[in-house]
Amino acid sequence: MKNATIREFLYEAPGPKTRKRVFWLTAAAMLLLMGLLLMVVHRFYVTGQLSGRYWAFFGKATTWRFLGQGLLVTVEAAVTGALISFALGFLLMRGRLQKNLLLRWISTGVIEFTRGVPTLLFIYFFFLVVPQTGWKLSAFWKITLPCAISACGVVAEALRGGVNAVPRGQTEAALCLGYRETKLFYRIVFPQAIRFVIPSLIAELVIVLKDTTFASIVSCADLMQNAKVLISNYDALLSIYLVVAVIYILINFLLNRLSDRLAKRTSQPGAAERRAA
Amino acid sequence: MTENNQPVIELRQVNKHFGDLHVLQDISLTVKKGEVVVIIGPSGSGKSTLCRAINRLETIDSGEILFEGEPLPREGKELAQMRAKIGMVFQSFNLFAHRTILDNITLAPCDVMKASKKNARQEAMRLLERVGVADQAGKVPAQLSGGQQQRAAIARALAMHPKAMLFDEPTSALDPEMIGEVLNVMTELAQDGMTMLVVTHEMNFARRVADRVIFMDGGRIVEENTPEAFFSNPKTQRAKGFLSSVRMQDREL
Amino acid sequence: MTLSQLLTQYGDRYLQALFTTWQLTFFSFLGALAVGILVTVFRVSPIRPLRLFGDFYVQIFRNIPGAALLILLVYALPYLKITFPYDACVLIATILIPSAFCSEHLMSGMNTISPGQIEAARALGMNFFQLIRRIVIPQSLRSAVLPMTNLMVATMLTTSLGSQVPLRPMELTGIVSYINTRSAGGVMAFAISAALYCMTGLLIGAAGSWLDRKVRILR
Repeated sequence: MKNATIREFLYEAPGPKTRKRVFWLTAAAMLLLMGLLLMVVHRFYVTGQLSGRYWAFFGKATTWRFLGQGLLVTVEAAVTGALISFALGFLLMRGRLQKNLLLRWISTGVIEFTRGVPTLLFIYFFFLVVPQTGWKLSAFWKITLPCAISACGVVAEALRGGVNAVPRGQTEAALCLGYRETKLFYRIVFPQAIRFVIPSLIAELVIVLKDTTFASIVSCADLMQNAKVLISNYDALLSIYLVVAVIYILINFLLNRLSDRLAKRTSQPGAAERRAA
Repeated sequence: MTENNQPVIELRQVNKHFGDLHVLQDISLTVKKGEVVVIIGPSGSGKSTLCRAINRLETIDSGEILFEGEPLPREGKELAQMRAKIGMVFQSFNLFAHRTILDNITLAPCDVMKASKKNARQEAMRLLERVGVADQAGKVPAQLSGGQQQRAAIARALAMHPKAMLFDEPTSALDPEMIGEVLNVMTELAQDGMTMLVVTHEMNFARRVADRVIFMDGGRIVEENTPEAFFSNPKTQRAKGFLSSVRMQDREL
Repeated sequence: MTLSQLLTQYGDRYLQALFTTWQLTFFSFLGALAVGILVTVFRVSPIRPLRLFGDFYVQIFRNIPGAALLILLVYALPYLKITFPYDACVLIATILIPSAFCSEHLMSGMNTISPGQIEAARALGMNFFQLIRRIVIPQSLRSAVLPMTNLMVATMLTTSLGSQVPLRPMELTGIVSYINTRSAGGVMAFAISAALYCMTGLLIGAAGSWLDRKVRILR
């Protein structure tokens, strides 16, 4: 009962009448959903989108190699962007927890700013304004940097949440043992905080990965951009975009699941001890 | 006198399993009108499950449960109507967290019995007066102490004019200094003639208030007797063991 | 360009863009709320196919990148002989994605209700609909205020997808690229839009925490 979710306790054990009703409703829902699926397939069929020429090239290794190359760039950009945002976020979090009022205000301002402005605006900034200043950036950095900046405020707040989750008593105990503030933070508080926030950091990686799909604005050859090249090669827009969307969904789904799993593990007090035993 | 001997709650050969665990084994039990029956036993003996089965918060695998001679309906409106006649008090109070104490008490009478708002309020205040938390009527549950919450929960159950009351370890979640105030309310209720089935660890309450004590262990009713006979001269080895371990704890306290 | 130059030349357009972003945010949020509630009803219904469908829906739209969804709506759907105008495509995308997150917030809001309170309501003789109306919905809505506030800000950020199609009138991100391709608006052109976004976000946040303070459930 302790870990029951609303799905389990919202309904009580059904009686015979309820069971019958649920059975028929289940059958009806199944038919409805099947009908919906059939309608979609039918739509594909009558518009000729099921024809072999739209799908045959997915059997070729070159197609997948090309998409794979794009995916590699996407992953590279996402991981690089996420790592930069973690670093920036860390600095902002440190800034926000300082005693110095000015430092705190600046950090808070930057955090709120990056959280309140859409990633696309940062991307256009790097696309349109940065080149005017004479700062030569490759396409890769033109997408990676704005995504990182856009994410760093959220990362900073997540890290701050983790730091605050470390029991206050430990800080006091460490101070009694003669720890200085900086050492205390890096040796006692932060190593524990990072364990709490790893799930949120993975979730943030998903957000950065989604944001990199705008890479074609700055003509960076990511998965999306390579898909466009394939489309003009094979003249098959629908099938290729669908497959690419599914690839994105699968990657993000797996990352989110990993994040949820880790979150469940860290949120259960005593879970670590039980594993050790 | 004949009316007073009518059974209100009746269980016949009730069985229930939780997976491999046989939590209720051939339980037969009758609670007559105005009677106070106390169920005691070690934790895991099935006493809470028994209590919860009576208004079908737990389903049973076989056997029969009757309330006022009628079999317990299995679902729907009939079940809800039956439940409205049985008051229940939980270990963890279970007051509705988003409503005031007064609203907690008037909610079900208005929704279920279609009472008018004004009458429900008057009745609720009278009941809150009776359990001694009338001054807390405008607060939300989290602002009250555990003892106050449990007394309000008793008032909430009484507002439905129940024919019987089920108490599922009503004092187990309370700090020691608050147990007395809840037991006092329950004692008064018993003296007023309420039919009660009480699952508890409070031996003194059982001794003073119960008409009958039922000792459960391992899913079975092991012993059933008047409180005097049970506490002074338990017949079974298991009851003796249980009572002596409880007395040890009492002495330590 | 300086601030005053920008404002004299494009001030009206910025105002219009701000209004468009607000409008989009408002309607997307309402739509997301409606769809999110419906999907949540599916997900907690006793009917298994509906539950699975609801879970599937949420996983799809929680994980699809906004750009990918918009491209499918604008460029792929016409191949199935389904064509929406640009503004409808943007609106659909900015409803579908937040609706998945909306459902997730509602699910966790519902999970804050203790099973005991539901049992208590049953023991008092409430039927299923009374239980839903009196206990489940009010409690989950109240504990969902802050997540919903964040969702509204997230929806506002998502509406920047509107810059990817020729939307008329433009919203706050589109206008910046418009100004910068016509004349070098420079940093200031971005700063104005960014400030308007931030201001909107802060307004939503303030309204949300005010409401939360009023309805929060003490536990």
